[in-house]
Amino acid sequence: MRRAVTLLLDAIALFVDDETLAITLLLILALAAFVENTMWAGGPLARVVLVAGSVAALVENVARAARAARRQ
Amino acid sequence: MIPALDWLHAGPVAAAAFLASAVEAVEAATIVLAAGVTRGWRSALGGAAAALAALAALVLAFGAALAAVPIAALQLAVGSLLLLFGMRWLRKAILRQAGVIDRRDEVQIYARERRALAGQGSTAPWDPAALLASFKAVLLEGIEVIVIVIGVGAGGGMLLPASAGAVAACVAVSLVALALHRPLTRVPENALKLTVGVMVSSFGLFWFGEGIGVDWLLGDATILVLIAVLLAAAFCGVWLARKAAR
Repeated sequence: MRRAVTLLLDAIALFVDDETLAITLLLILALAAFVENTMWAGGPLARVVLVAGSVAALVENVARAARAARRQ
Repeated sequence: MIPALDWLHAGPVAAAAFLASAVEAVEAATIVLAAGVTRGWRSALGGAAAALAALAALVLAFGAALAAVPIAALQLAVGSLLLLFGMRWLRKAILRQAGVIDRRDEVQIYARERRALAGQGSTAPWDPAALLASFKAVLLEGIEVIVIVIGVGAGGGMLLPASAGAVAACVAVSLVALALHRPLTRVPENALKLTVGVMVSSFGLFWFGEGIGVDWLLGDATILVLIAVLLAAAFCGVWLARKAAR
């Protein structure tokens, strides 16, 4: 059981380094899918949400990580 | 045989798979080399070969399963995973480039692994410590290679060029590592990781968009635009992180 949990954690670690960034990205993907399928301006808006949202999430995350490193 | 025109689409896929797999292969080679030099080549190469066999079994199992998945669902799943995977690399590469976290040092990792392996009892013909260290390193890095190949190749029916890129990288790194008998320190790993993070994240955004039904204005060429946007974001991230860390 313990080995299975370790293996699962190793597998998750392939995709997740910083939990906040991973969760933010997943929320952006969900929002883009929602916008694309429910709003009249879905196409262009979904593209903006998907690309601009992911880029903004990344840039904000690294800036925050750098500030946190400075405080330590 | 892929028609000549399709190589225009296959090129970026093969390049992304090659670069990403090269980074993974360098990391695995460092551990296998440390195990081989410290505990004997039979066990180190045996562990690596066993891991390659396990990876081949994984590819066969997943390859058959992939064929049965509808393309939109595949693009959604692969796009999401690829974006998470690529952004993870990109984040780390940006922070390393900005000097916020230490760069990966293959020499240091090699020395640490050698120290750890040297302190583990006598060396038998089949040494369990070397076998296990090699097996684990090749298996874990190999799984990342499989994720990359499936990620960049499966969404657009480009598994063949992606696999070719990955195999070429792994063979090239293995041959150089075996010839040199020391860690590959001259590989600009962080620059490679940043490049691969940008490429893999771009494929992730593109495939996820395709999966939810987004009509990309430039078709497949949108990937190049996404690469440019993410590259600009990466440089902006490095600049911001440097500024914030001061």
